Amino acid sequence: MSVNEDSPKDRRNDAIAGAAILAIAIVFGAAALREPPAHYDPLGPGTVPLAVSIALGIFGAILLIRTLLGLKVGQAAQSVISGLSLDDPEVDYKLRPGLAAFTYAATAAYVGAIALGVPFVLSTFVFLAVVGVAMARLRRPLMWWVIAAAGAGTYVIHLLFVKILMVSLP
Amino acid sequence: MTLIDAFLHLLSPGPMMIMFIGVTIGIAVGVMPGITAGMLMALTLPFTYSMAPVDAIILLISMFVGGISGGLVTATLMRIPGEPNAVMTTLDGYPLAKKGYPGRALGLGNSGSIVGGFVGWIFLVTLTRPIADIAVLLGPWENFALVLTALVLVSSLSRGSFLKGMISALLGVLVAMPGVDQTSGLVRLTFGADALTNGFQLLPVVIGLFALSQLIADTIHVEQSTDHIKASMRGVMIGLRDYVVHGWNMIRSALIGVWIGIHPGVGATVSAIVAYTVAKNVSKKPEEFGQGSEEAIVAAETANNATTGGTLIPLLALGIPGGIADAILLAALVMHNLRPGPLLATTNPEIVNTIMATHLAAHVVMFALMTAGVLLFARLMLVPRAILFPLVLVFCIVGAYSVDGQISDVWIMLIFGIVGLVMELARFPMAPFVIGFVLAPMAEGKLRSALMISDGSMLPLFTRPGSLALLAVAAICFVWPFWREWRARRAKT
Repeated sequence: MSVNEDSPKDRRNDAIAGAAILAIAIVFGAAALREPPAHYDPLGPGTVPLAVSIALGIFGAILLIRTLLGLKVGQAAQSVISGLSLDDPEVDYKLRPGLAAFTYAATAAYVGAIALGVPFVLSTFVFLAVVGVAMARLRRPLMWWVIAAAGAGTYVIHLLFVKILMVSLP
Repeated sequence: MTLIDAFLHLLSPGPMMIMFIGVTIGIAVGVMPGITAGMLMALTLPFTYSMAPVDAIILLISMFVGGISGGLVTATLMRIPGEPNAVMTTLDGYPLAKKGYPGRALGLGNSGSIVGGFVGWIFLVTLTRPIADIAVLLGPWENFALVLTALVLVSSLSRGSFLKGMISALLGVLVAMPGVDQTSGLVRLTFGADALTNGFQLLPVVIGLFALSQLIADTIHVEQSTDHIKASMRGVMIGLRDYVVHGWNMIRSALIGVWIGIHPGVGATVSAIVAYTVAKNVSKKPEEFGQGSEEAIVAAETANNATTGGTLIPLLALGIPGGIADAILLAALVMHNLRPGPLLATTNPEIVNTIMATHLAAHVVMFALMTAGVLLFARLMLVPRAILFPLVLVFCIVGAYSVDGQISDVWIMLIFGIVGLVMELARFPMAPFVIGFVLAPMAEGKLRSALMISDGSMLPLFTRPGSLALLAVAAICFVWPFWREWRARRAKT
């Protein structure tokens, strides 16, 4: 087996990933084992999940062992989500991981507000305005454009989904 | 409905308008950095519920074609790939535009796109039915072996790490398991959560994995400059002589695109990289690559559009998606109560023919729109992200909610947004996950049918010639990465 060419950061991530996958496989495998057999069905509800859990556990263990032994694991060469790397030397502007975390938290809060019964139109306007202003970094006149767009966007979304597409909104 | 009928249907006002809207929105989204064609398709899918299946397919295919093509504009004028598959175009499109030829750079790319689309369409039309006719003869054992082979293939073709590809595919299969077991009717693996009784729905999972996680990643780059080169109409229409000069490059790159597209999980980005590399290797002026080479732009843009035809072949002939956009198309077919697979051409020829006809017609519409409206589309690059990103986030939420009208689906979408980010940070390939998730119910169903026929014996999987041959292919795909690594190590020592 070849010597590890993965970076130390990759190795650390791989070790965590291997352990996490092994844990997921054990949890799902144990749950699959508890599934009762089904009459008139040669497989039953638990067989396929159990088989997949075992295979996943084996691959997870291989990943963990290879990483711990310092052997090459390899990294996906093709990225579906672009722009996650925080150490790209070609980037000549300030990266905003904190803003990304805030945006995710605000999205979760928005969903929570809807789940608690806050009216969709109100919660959508507040969400669009707050996240938009944060992304505009309170710069004027962009900030005022963002707030105006939040109002217009809320109206258009409501019109589009409720009146035109007839989708039931939360 | 024959293929000619499907073309005639597209000429009627309603479908024509849907196609026009689909291509326009697709190009617009392709132009806007941070929003991808796959994301657009995932967000649009819930809203096609109320549409006729044929219209929904026209809309989604048009968006697919428009989205793949629109990335060219941003890659050329801003040096940012509007779509991931336009990454190679940035290397030469931007330098050529900077030299004072933005119109020509866009024209070459656009012309390559339509040639690639046309070649891809020829293969789509000629290969799909013969493959489907053979696949119809396969029994449940062979079908089960086929799905297994597809999963191993998609993992082994995940460039970088076969091990991570396999883990990703198996995770996708496992995530498809919770919910009501189709045969026994028993609820399984819900861990006591009522929200999981219906399992993880495809749309919240896909929207979370691709749309939400991409938007969060894009937010990190919210301060990226929007400096750009001004678009120009001069040179947007290339002459016949250019088609002759670049003809062989276009055909070669298109064939590369189709070939790569047929393989599950590889996709347009890889085809653009391979076509670019091959074009550079055979070029008489390789030193111009990276400096504004016309050959490079043509190769990359031809290949990525040809891939769209290639990826549709396994989807239509076998019911196996070649990539993420195809997985969403597969979901659209299932959502409209259609059964993807080799029988689709027999049971619903109107769907298969509509997909084929739309694929070609959408390329023609795309070419016309990109030629005439490039100045207009170029302005979309400048939409402030502070306005665009929050709006798309709301679309993600409404899209996930509208599947079943359950807020739990929105929470699931939020969770899979994090899953997507974690998988990308740990550099696991995402395509095997989605394909595993989509194919898992089919694989389990086929295995059940096969076991009922064989009274519970697994032996026919290894004794029937068809399934044995497919398992042999799977075994080769499985062993191949390890053998390659062993050879590389031996060569070093």
